[in-house]
Amino acid sequence: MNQTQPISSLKVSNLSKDFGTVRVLRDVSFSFTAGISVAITGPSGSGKSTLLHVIGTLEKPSGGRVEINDTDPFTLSEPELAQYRNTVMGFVFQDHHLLPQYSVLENVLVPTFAFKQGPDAPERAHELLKRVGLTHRLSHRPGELSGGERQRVAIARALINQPGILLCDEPTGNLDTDTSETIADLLFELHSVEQNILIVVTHNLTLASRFQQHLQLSDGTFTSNGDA
Amino acid sequence: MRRFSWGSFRYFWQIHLTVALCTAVATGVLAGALIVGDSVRGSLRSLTIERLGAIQHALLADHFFQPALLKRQQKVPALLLNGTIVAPQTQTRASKVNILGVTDSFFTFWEESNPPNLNKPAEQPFNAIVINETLQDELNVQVGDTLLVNMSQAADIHPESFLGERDAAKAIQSLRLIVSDIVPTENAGRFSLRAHQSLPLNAFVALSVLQKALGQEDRVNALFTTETAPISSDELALTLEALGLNIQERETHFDLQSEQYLLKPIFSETALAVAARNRIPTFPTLTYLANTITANGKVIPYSTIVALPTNAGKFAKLINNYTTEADQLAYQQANKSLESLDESLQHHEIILNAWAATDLNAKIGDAITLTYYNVSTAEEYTTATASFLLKGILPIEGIAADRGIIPTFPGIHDTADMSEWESPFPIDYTRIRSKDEAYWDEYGTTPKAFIPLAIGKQLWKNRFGDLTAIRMGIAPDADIQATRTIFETEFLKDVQPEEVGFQFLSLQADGLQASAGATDFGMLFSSLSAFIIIAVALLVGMLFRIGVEQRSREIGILQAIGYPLTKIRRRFLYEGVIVASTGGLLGCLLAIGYAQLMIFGLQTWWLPAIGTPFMELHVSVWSLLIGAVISLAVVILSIRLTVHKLGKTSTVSLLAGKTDFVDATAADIPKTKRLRYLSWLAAAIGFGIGIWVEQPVVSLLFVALLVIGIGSGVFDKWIKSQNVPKQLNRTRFAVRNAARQPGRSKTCVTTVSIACCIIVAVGANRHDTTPETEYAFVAESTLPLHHSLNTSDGRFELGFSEKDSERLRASDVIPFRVSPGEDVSCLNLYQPQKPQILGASDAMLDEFPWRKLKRVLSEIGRVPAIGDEKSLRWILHHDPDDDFIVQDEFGKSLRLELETVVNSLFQSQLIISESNFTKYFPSQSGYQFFLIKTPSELREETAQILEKTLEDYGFDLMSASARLANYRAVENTYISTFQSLGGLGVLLGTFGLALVLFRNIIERRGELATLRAFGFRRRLLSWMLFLESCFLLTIGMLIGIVAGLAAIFASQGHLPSFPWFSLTITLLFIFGFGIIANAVAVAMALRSPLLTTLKSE
Repeated sequence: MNQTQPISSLKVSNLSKDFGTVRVLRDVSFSFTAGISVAITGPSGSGKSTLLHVIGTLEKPSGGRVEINDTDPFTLSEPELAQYRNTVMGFVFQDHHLLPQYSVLENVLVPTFAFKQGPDAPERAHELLKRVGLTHRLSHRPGELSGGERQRVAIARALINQPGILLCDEPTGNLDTDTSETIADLLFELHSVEQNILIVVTHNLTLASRFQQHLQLSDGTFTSNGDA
Repeated sequence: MRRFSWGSFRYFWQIHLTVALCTAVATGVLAGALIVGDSVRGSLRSLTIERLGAIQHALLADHFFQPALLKRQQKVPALLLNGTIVAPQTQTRASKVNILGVTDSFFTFWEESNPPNLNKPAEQPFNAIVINETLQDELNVQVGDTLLVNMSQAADIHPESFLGERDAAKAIQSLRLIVSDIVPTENAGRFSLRAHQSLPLNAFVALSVLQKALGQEDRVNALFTTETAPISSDELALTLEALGLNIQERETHFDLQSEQYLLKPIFSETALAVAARNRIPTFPTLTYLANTITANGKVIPYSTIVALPTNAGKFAKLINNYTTEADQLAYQQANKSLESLDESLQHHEIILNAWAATDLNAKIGDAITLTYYNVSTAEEYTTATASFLLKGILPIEGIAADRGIIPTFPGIHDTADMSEWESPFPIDYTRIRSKDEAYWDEYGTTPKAFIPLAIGKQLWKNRFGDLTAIRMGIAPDADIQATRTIFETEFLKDVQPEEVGFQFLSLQADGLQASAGATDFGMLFSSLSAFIIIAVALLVGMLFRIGVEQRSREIGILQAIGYPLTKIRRRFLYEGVIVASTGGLLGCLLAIGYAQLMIFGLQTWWLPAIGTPFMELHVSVWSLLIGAVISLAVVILSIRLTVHKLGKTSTVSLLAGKTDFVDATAADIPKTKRLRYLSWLAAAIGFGIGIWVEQPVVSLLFVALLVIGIGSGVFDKWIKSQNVPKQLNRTRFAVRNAARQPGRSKTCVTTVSIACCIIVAVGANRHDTTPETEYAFVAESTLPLHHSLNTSDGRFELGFSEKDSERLRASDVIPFRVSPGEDVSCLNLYQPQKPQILGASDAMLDEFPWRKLKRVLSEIGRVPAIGDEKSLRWILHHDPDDDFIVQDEFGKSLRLELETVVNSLFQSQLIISESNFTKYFPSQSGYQFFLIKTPSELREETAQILEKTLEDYGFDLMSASARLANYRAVENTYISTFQSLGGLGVLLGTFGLALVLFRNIIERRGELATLRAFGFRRRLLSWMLFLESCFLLTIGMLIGIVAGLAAIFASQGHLPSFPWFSLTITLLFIFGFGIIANAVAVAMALRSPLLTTLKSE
């Protein structure tokens, strides 16, 4: 496995993002430290996912600055950025985006193949799958899992490289209430163990209320202070 | 519904366009292949019509006859000869030239052609010759140049008989002529009796000039007619003269004799039968020339001997008159004493005339020895000896003095002195004494000795006959005139023209029939196109499936709002039919273009396959229709199967956009398995049938499909397996991506494997290496050689200098006799109607498998023969279990029990033994085909000597390996054309692969974006995707290679000497092409940003 970097802080200053003539994010600023869990809520089109993607270095900001451990990741070259993302970020998507042709175990291991694979990757994958309660599903394919199980695989996959920042985009968006609860419990449980920065975009206000910090985004800007 | 469909046509135009294009390709390839077949047939047909003009029928003969023989008004006479032409100015030579003696009326057979100038140029001393442009190119001559035309001299007596003329100088007639005109090699300029697509070398000479040169005034050997009614034997007003016979009438008898010296067996048998039927007394005789008559140490040179019935008729009466009891006693005593020594001498009795007996001082009971010439099978004179007992001595009177039974000895009969004899056989003039000259002066050819007819036949009978004259008496109740009339009438009625060398040919009809072609290019291309059709069907099925998958939500919605499944299926089918039909129509245009391209290829790159660029595009509506209907049927079936699978996914899944509806549900698994087992069973049965019917192509097809089926099945099973790999790595991950859409992956693998299978199975037969043979040269001569090239005497006779003859000693020449006929090799596109037959000399028959030709079969009219396996199978379409039937010289069926040889120098002919050849084709003389063994260091020199010295014979040498290479070039060219079809399959397979890759990437954009989110670089993703497609390409190629090899092994029983080089290059090219296509597909698919697809908003 790649050497993971301990992340102590995530700072966003005056962040803006335009798509053509449309400004999606405006002067967004916040600062988080390791161990925090943050929920971002807001109406559709408010820029939640875009913010998550910019934090996750999937998209470059149009203005402002993102600093992780006081370093701007966007100054890195494309290959360096990819490796950075691989080791620092973990993603969980609403549509889980599991690879249907791979087994559960393989899906969890997918991020480890982006770069040279460490010898303890399979061991950690087994460990994570144990933690998410899927040891009995190792060789199953995503098509054979329930929605909740799929999302649990996605969470395990997101944590395989022990990322300092875990970004979840509507992780319970496609799940029923009970399953959503279970997934949320799992996220908090793992967060308490991993002590990373957990940022979750959600429409579910009940879920959002369980996070240490709850930010509301409207029309590309926070309606509540993001300072932690 | 239609409005919906129109909307979907517009919205999903890309996928529909692709399906339509694929259908167009299928139709184009299939209909195009059929059009190629039409074009070959059509072009051969046009060629036939062009070379024959309006000629419908012909009467040909192996001898000369008067045109009046045919009782028809509308007929055009001609002399058709083969010869060589030498152009002294340019030092060039052309052999195998058709020398045509014609009148202006000959050119009226072609509407467009004006008669060329055949008249003798006023200012020139020599007569005119008109040549076609092909011959002009060969000789590099112009109008006004002089040409030396060599052809066989017309001879009444067969050159191989005892009195036949074999002297090179006399056997060849040379004519010096001036080129008066050059005609294009079209219409009359292309005239040929030979059904072959190659350009003939034609030379036209005024009929009268040629007749005069040959000494055959008013005679021809061919008559042509434009009348549609065939010429029948009833229309021939046969005369004895036309048959080369004559009757010498006396007061009490008449003698039937032949201009050919010996009466042909058919004539003597018919004459004796007619005489017997009409109770005409007959007295058959056989006259021969003895070199010596020896007794008591004394020798009489060059005497006429007559073999005749000694125990019957006038001769017996004459003997009785002159045999005393003392003579009889003396003969019996001598006979007994000899009998105890040698039983074979029991009936060897001889009667001398008084002059000879006196000269030899012989008395009754004395031993008399005769020496005489025989002609060996190698056409050499050998001296034979026969011993007799003198039974009687006759005065030179009565029948013993009758020269009427002695036919004319050419070069002997009309000479004043024996010393002036000009005979074809060697004469030792020193032996001739003055008393012999005195006898000649007084008695001429009067026989000096008589032997029993049976003994004479035993000694002198040959394939040309066993009688020289038949004397006939007066029939009861008739006078000599009436008897002769009865005999002539019945004799001419009984003789069948076909048995005496006349041929009645329906040239136009036979030519058009032959133009159906030996090789059905249409079927050949179509059968190989079948692979392409299958590949296209797979591709179309997959494309259509992709199209349907794209619209899974639409299907779900339609189902949700109450559309019955059947209606939805019908809608998709309706769309598919419209799209495929549009593609089919487009394919018809494509077919014409494709056929035109193939024809262009056959006229240029693949010219060796057809030899001459004669092809024109002939488009048959039927071919277009058949091509379109078959490809449409296959494509629509493929679409139908895809549409049928629509019902196997729940509406909810469809609404959720699930596209994986192609996998069989659990309930369908047994059905699918059953179907698969049934397919395999069918393939196995097909293979069995292929073996059983001994049809290698069938075996090849089924084995190929079986192996591809098994390979695809195993791949399918593997790719669907859910085992977690024990060792995970990036490459393995990439490879496992192929499992995402197993159906598509399998289709790609199958399509690629089909293409590779074609390339391997066809390419395995390609010959990269220069063929090896023990012979240095193959030679053919336009005019037959009658002397051996292996003996110094023979070489001397043929005109070799002593020095050259000495050089040729190092070579071994195996001569073959040749019957006129058609090339049965792949070099001839026409269906041969009358194969050329070779008579292999004994020198050839000592080795395997040639010794089989020596076998004597019990059945009359059936002989062992050898033919090349490829010619028999592909050109003559011969069933190995049956005899092959040809016509002998008498128009009777000759059954050939064929053995095969492989990759031989004899792909153009069928071979029988020389003894059988001379039996069934007795009138063919000399040798015209030769295999020559020469030490490698002498090859060039030997070739020069042979070609130079035998120039007048049109002796052409060709390197034996070059000849084999020519045959192989044709095979290789066929292979290239077929491989081009394989190449098209590769193109389709690769296109499918790239398309699948592209589609997969589009569908997996979310996954790929996730991978990007997890830190996978774009290059790594590209590499993984590229690896995935290369993996499919590799698997497909491997399955195809194995299937191709297995199919070749199954069809041929062994793997041919493998053309590793060309095949490896081809396969590497395919692989490279596939890689590039995949790389392009990956690059195109990853061009747009992936990460935007991650947004859930």
